Amino acid sequence: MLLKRPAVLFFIFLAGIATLASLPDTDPAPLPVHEEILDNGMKVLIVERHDLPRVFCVIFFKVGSVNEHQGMTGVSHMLEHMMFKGTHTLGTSDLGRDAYFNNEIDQKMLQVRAIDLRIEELQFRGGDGVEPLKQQRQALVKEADDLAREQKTITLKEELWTRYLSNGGTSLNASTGPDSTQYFVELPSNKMELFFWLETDRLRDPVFREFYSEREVVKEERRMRTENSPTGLINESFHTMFWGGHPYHWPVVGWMNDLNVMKQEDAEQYFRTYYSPRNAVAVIVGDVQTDAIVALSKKYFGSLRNAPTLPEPVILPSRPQAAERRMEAEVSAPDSLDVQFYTVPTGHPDGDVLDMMAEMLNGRSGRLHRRLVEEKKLALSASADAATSKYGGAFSLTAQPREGVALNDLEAAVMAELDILRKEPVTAQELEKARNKMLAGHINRFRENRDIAFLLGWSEAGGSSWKRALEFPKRIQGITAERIQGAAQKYCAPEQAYFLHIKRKGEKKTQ
Amino acid sequence: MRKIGLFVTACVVLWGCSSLPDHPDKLTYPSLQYTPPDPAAYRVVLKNGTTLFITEDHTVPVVEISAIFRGGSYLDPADKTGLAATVGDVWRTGGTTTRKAEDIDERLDTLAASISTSFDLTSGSASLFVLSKDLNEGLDMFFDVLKNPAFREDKLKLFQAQAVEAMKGRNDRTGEIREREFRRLLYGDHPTTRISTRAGIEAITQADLAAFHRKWVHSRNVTWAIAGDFKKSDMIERLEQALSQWNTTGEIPPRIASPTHVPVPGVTMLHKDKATQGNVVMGHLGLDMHHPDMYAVGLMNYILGAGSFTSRLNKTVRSDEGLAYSIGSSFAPGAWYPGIFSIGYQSKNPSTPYAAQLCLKEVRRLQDGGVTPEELEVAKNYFIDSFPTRFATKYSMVSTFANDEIIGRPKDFYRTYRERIQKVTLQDVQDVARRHLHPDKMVIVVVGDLETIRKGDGVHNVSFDSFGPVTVLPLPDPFTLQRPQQN
Repeated sequence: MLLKRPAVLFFIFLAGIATLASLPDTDPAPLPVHEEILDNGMKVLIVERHDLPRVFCVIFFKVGSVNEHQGMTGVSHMLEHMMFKGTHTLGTSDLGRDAYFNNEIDQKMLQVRAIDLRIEELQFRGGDGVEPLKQQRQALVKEADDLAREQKTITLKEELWTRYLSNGGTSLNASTGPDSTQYFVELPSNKMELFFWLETDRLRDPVFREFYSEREVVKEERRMRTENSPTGLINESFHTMFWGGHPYHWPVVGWMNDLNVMKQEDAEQYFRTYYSPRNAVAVIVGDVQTDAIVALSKKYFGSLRNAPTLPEPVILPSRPQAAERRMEAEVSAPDSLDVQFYTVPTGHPDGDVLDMMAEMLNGRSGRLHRRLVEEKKLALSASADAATSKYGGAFSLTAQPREGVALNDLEAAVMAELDILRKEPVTAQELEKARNKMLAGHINRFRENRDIAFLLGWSEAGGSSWKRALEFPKRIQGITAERIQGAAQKYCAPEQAYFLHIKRKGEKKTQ
Repeated sequence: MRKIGLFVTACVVLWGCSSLPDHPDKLTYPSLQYTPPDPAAYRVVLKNGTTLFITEDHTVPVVEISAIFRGGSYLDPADKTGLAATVGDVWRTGGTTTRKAEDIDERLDTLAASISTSFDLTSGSASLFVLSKDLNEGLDMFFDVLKNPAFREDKLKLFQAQAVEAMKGRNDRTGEIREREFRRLLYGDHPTTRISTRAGIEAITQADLAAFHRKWVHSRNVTWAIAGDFKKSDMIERLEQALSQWNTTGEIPPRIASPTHVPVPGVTMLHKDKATQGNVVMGHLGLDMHHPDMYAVGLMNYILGAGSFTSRLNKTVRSDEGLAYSIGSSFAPGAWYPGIFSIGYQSKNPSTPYAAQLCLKEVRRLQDGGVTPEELEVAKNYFIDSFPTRFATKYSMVSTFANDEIIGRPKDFYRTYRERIQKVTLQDVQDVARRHLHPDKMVIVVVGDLETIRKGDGVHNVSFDSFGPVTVLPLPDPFTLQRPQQN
C-alpha cells in the first residue's frame, strides 16, 4: 500500500552555523543521516560513524501509556517485559508442550482473576465471605504454580539475552514512556545480522510465556519505584492531579489494581494492535556501511506484516481551569516546592520559547539561583524545566527552602520571578547566554552513538521528526525577548498554576 | 470494552516461509580485528614532571580537561569530617583571588562552558568543558580556579546549609540505610565508613579549605586527562606555561590504610516505617585489583549475578519466582584495599527471607557444581566482544588511562586482557567460587517493615534467624549518626 520512497538525505549538522557570531568558527562534523522507508512502512535511519567497531541499534514503537485505557493501565510496559520472553524459535525445547502449558496456566489464572475481582468487590462493599474464596484461590494458584514448574523443564531461559550478550552486546534493555516504547542494544560491528534476526523474530512470533510471574516482577518494579520511594506516591498523585482527564494522568507502570488483574491476552492484543512495522522506527548508528544495513533491513524488517487496521487515535480532554490547584504533603523527604503549568506538545513553536525561558532561569548565573539562593537566601537550590511530549507539555519550577524558610514564602518568591517575566522583557545578555547554553547542549548530543540514536528516534516517536531535531540551532535563533514575555503571559498565569508542597515528616525512631 | 481476536493474521508468518536462516546460531559473521589503544601513545610528561594523557578529537568542537588529584575524605580530620567534600564544592563556587565568583558564573554561562571541582573518598578533580572557539578564555579561568581559589565565606555557608539539609534525608531511603550499615559492618571504623556529622561540617572554616587546597592541590600530586578539538602541541605549550609557576610546596598524600576490622557474620535488621519492600544486602570482604584470581572471579560473578538477565540470580529470584525487579551481585576489586563481594535485592516484605534463601542456595550451587561450559562461553564472549566499549569516546579513554596511572594498573592490562579472560577454565571458576565466596560467613543487612518481614510469606518455612544471629538496630540520628539508647 505504501510507496517505496528511498531517499538519501545528507544533512549538514548545524546548518547555517556561520551566521551566528557566538558559534564556533569551524564547521562541526556533519551528521549524514540516511532515511529508508521500507515497503511495509517501517522507517530505518542510518548514521555511519567509524571511530570504534561498535554499533548502537534501537527500535522505537509509537505506542506508550497514552494509548491505554482505564482498567488496563501499564499494559504498554508489561508488553515491553514480555517481548524478552522468547518466540516460536527461542525459549523452549518443545513448542507443542510449551503452548499447552501456556494455555493451561492462562486458564487457571483467568479463574484466579475472576475470584480476585469477586474478592475486591466484596471488600469494597464492606461485606464478608471472602475466606472461602481465598481458599479456592490458593488452590488454583498452586495448580498454576505446579504447571509453571513443569513447564520450566522444557523452557530455555533468556535465550534472546544470551544470544546478544555472548556476541558482545551491551546496553541491552528496553524502556516504555507515555508516547513510545524502545528496544536497544549496542553490538560489535560485525554482528549486525544478529540484531536483524533477533528483532525480526520477536516481532513475528513472540510467545508470552511466564506472563504471570513476570507480572509479579513488574509489581515489584512499581513497589520499588513508587510505593517504596519516600516521594513516589506523592509525585504520582501530583502528576495525576496535573494531567486531570488526560491519558497522561496514569503512571506508565500502571495502577497496582490494574496490574493485579492484567491478562496475557491483554498484552497479546496490544502487541497485535501496535507493533506493526508502519508504527516502528529503527535507528542504527556506528561503524556500519549504509548499503549493507539497507539490504539487511529489506531482507528482515521488510518481511514483517502490518495489522489490518490502524489503532484508534488518542482522544484528548478539554482543559477548562477555573482556579489554581494545590497539594500539600508530609513525607519522609526534604522540604520542597513544585510549581507546574500546562503548556504545549512537542513540535509547537512555543516549545522552544519555553525551553529558553527555563534556560535563563537556570544555572549559577540564572535568575532563580541569583535571586532565591544568593540574594534573598530563601532557597538552597532552585531550577526550572520545560518538557514537551507528543500530547502535551509542562513548565515546572522546583525549589528547596533553606532551614526555617516557610514554603509559602518561597512560593511567593518563585511566583514573583514569573511575574517579572510576564511584565518585563529579558535582557539581550540573558538571551545570548541561554542560546549559547542550548547550542552547547545540542552539540553534546552528537558525541556518542547512543545519544545520536536516541535523539533521532525520540524525535520521530515523540511527535516531531529527525529533520526538525537537527534544525534546532536554526529554530532558536529567532527567539526574541518579546516571545519569551508572551509565553510567560500565556502559560504561566497564577490562576493556571499547580502547586505541590512537601514537608519533612518526623520519623519514628524505632519500632 | 475491546473485542479479543480481531487481528489474528499479524503473527502467522513463520520463519519456514521465508529465505532467512531459521536459527540465529546459523548466522555467520565477518571477522573483526580490534587493537586496544596503548596508554604510552597518549602519555606526555611536562618539564615539571607532571603526567598528561592527551589526544586530539575533532568529532565535535569542544575541549575537555581534567586534573585528577590523589587524596580525599580519607584525609579528613576526625573533628572535621566532610572537609574534602566541602573543598570540592567551594573550590569552584567561591571565586578566585582576582575574579569574583559571580563574574566567573556569568562568564562561564555566557560561553556555555563549565568548570567543576570535587573530592570524593580517595581522589579529587578539577575539570573544564569549553567550546573550542573559547578555549583560551576557558583555560585562563580554569587555571585561575585551579591555582588561586578564594573559598569565599558566604559560599562556604551556603554549602554547609545544603549539606545539613542533605543529612536530614539520611534515613529516607532504604537503599542508603542498607549501604551505610553494610559498609560499617564490613570495614569497621575506617576512613571509608566515616560519615560527616552536622557538628563536623559546621566546624569547617575558610582557613581549613585553603590549607587543604595548599597541601594537596599542586603539580606533584596531579595527573591530567585532556581530549578535544585542539592542536596537541599548542595545548602542551599552554600547560607548560601555566603550570611552571605553580606552587610545589604541597605534600604527597599517604596511602589509605587497609581496614583491620574483622567482620562478624550475622544478620542486622533495621526498621523503616511504611516500607513496602525489604531492601537486603549480603556479602563479605573481597579482593584487591592486583589479585591474580580477579579474571576468573569476574567471570564467576558475571554468571552468578552480574550478567543481567542471564545470571543465575536473575533467572531464579526474578524470572522464575517473580520475587524482585532488581537483583544482582557485585565483586568489585578494590584499588587501595580489599573490595566487597555482595548480593543485593529488593522484594516485597513477606518474600524477603525466602529470596535470601534462594540467593545463598545459588552461591552454594556455584561452589558445589561449578558452571557449565555454555555459561562460561557466554560470559567470556561478553567480556571479550564488549571490550572496546571502555574506549567509547576519546575523553573517556584518556580519563581511564589517567586513573589507571594513579591506581597503578599494570601497563599491559588492556593488551593482555582478552587473552587472560580466554585462558580461564571451568575448573578455575569453580576454584575461585570455593576460595573467594563464603556463604556461611555472610554479613546480611535487612531494611524494611520488620514485622511483615518476620512473618514471612506463609508458604516457605524460612526466616532471617536461619542465616545467623540477628541484631535489630534502631536508625541512627541523621546529624550525629548516634543511635538512641536501647534497653
